[in-house]
Amino acid sequence: MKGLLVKDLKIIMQNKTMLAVLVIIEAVFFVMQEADGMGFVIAYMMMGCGMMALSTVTMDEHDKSMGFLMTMPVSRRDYALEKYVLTFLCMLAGGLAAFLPYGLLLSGEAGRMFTAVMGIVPVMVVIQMVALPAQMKFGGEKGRIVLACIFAAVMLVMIAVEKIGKQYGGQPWLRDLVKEVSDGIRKTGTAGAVGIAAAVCAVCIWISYLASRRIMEKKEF
Amino acid sequence: MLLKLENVEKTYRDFTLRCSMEVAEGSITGLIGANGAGKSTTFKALLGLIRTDGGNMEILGKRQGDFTAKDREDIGVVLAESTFCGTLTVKDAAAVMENMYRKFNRKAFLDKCDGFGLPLEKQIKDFSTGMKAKFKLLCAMGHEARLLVLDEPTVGLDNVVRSEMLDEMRRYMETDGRAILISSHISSDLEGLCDDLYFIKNGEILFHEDTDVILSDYAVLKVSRQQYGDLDKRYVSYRKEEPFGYKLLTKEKQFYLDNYPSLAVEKGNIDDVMLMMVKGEKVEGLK
Repeated sequence: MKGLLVKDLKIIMQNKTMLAVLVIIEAVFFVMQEADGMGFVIAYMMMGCGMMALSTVTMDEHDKSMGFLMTMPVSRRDYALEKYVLTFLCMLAGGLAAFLPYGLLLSGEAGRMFTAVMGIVPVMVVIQMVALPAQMKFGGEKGRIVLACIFAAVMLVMIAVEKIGKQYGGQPWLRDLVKEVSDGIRKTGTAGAVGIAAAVCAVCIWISYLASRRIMEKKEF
Repeated sequence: MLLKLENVEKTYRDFTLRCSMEVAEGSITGLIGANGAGKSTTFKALLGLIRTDGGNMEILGKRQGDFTAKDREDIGVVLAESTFCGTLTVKDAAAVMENMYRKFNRKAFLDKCDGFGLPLEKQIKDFSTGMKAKFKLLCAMGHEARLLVLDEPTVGLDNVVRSEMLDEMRRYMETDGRAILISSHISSDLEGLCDDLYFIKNGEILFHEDTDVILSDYAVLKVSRQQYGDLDKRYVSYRKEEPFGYKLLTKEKQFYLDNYPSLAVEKGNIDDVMLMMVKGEKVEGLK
């Protein structure tokens, strides 16, 4: 797997333009919005770097090099696992690159930083966990279309939930349900919320990895 | 045997591969056939890149199902259409292979690439066809594999470089315990390199013969219709109609030289055999 990681890091480093754009946009937001833009910048950098990891799947597909890689001493499972390791390394690097300037700026406001990070990291993880198997299954162009469709479907569901909420918001049973859930979350405290978020992320990662592994095992080159 | 395929089957909508073949230790075996005959499908099947529908495969003494990713260190591969990602350079590829293969010698590989005129820091996608072919072959040979599986490795090379690469393959075989399976459209490459040849047509192996036998015993007879009528056809395997009469493929050149001195008998070569089998009509058994 080390060889695959080396290959993908080399591919990412070749994409200097994208790396430069990420850093410039981060710097611009940092200067313009200061502390208010922290959540956005962290999300942006994690997403951008995660996408760069994702693009290595596209590159493997595009140059038909995936078949060649599978003749080397790596298994299909190794390939799937490596893409997850790479994605998390890239997201971590992007998140840290975004977080560190704010860490210096808001060194006395740990709570504020914690809230910003906790609010955004699970969302970014879930998005990447949907994107990875989609990219492995459908490849470059199709993968992007499928991904756009998935996110469009999520948006539609959210809109539907909002409308249903408005329509039935006055119903006592719905009010009670919402109250029970929010009370439950409040009772768990910060540690509980972090635990729940971590558990959700872990389940998403595991399901996503199993799906990617299966996709790779079934793939023909 | 370093490689053994027994009744390997793979069915697509409009094509079925049914293939049996062997590659012995110490030998260079060629697989020839027209475009779409099944050469690349055979290679992909034995490398596990596609799922087969039946048959058995043994690679380096192991059943394919038991052949692990680690075992693939002993195989060097050239695929007709794929290699490393095009944005990488030769130096990048060396770094990748260094982390994949225990026996890969980075310095020797880079020296060899340099010796063959490959720019070490240029992206592979900007290489010429010939440069890509050289790079792919050097990658396959760069980690001391016991078995090389080479699908059209000399495509796009000019005569001089092709000759150099063929010499590389011969040098590679100087170490005991190795073997090469190679496909090529260039019959002169195979004639000068291979110990034996398999001919594949429409997914089936039609013919397996030692290269020496093809060159010494096979011949193409050119006969008029009248000569054809009088000919002993026991040793004729394929017939192709021509304006002057027929071209006939035989494995018994000497028989026709001895018994029909007036016949035009052309010494056989791989191109003739392939052409007769692809374009001709099978006449084996006709008297």
